[in-house]
Amino acid sequence: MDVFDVAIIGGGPAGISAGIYAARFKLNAILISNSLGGTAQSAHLIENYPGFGAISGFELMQKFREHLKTFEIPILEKHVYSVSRENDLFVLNLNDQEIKAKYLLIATGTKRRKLGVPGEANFYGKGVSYCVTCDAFFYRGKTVAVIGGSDAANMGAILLSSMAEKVYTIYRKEKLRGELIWIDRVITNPKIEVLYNSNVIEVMGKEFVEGVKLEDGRVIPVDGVFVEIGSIPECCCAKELGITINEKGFIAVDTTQKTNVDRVYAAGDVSSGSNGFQQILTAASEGIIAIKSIFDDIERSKGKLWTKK
Amino acid sequence: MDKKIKYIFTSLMIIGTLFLAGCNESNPDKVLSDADKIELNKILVNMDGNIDILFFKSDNECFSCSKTETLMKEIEQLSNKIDLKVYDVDKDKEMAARYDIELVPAIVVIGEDDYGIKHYGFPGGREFNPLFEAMIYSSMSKPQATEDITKKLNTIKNPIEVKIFVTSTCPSCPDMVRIADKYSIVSDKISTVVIMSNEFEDYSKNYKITAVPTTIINESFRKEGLMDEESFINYVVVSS
Repeated sequence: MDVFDVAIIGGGPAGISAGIYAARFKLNAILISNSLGGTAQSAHLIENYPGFGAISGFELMQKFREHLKTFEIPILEKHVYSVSRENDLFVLNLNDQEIKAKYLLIATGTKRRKLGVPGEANFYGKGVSYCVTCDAFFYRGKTVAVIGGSDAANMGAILLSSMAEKVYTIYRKEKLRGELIWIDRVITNPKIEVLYNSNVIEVMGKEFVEGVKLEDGRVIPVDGVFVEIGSIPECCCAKELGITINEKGFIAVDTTQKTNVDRVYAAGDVSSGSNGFQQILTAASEGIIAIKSIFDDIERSKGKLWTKK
Repeated sequence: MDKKIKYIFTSLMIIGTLFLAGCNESNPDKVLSDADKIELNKILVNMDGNIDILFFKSDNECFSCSKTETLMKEIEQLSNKIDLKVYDVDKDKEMAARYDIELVPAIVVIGEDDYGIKHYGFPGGREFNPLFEAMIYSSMSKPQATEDITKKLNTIKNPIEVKIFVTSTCPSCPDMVRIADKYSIVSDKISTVVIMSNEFEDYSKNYKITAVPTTIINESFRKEGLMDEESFINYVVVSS
């Protein structure tokens, strides 16, 4: 079995950028991801990635993938079930095969946070959705609610307003957050009504969603509920490897993207890097910083890199 | 090369080729770019046997027949192991009935056997890959299921039709299609029909689809979201 210099777990902006740089540094690297492109590809419009003006997340990540493909780096479209140690190597269990590597770069991103209210699970796929770009068109001419006030929620509300008759943005705070440009678009959109200081406590309906109940007792009749209340880090193998997780649940890294565990790095939304500013741009940046750090470490171990005493 | 290894190897290569179709939507005479064709050719060399693609179209109110036909012709031209047969559902009624064509455009992939793999709509965006993979796998020996799953599959006595409603932008839809396609090839009792929901709005409304992927087995069992292989097989067995 081949032993790789570095196994990159995750195929979002951080993982793909890391893959590109790993190839350019001529590291013997492998990228493992069961979703090449990551959650970034679900963004219906990205207007803050320099050089691209306005582009969908889908198209941008396609360009990432195409760029990665120009290099000879093996890619496995698989899930990493666990990681163990075998002497000085990390052994990645992919269920039907094992991958061994000297270094690990965790770039597994995040998964959607759920509301955790009655009715949410029962009506998943029957009016409750976590993917605006996937399911928006099913609500043409209907009334929907977007729960949340972040960029993702605001973008979702704008996309939905192009199809739905009426969009409620329901947010627990008194002001929407995120980029002001998105907030302006939401609050000036005649189809969108923002309900501030509002908490959803129940998703209601019979066979399909018929409304949401708010904490103040109001019931808002809607046909669909799109939950956009942020995400939870997917801290792959953190526990088994003894990786430190910070108070917000992210993998704690230093400025080189290194974790507390020797030869384990983390990058992108799963890490505490970039001052917690989760963007495609910062994820890509963290990915390449991590690879440069790994490269330096390998060179240092070979005695090829000058080390400051 | 061992077939199983080859099977895995192909799947690894395929993932590099993503979201190709639909890149040239402004030009109805061309769907695949030259770069797309180069990538696809790399994968097509892994084909073992020949496959037939049966393409069903209509001149009446078909949103994407022309574009899909162009794509299928482009794919056929990439390999001498792919034979495309084009049918008009309004004229070739016997063939349309034989393959139970409900919607157009329809793509039926036939390998050594008719594995029952059918796709309705233009296979653009994320849905190109699983369809293309199904074409490659249909040319190969049947993949082996695990012992446990084989036992379960052996309990299926009657035909199972799996309908999967997808959209071209859905991240988890391709994996659901891959699983269903795989077991359509493994088991002669299972067939898979993929429906591009955004193209067939009324059809999707009839099934009350509000999220993708939604899987409907034998018109009765319904499950929203991505299932793993074991769950899928369990639901198939329960529905049989």
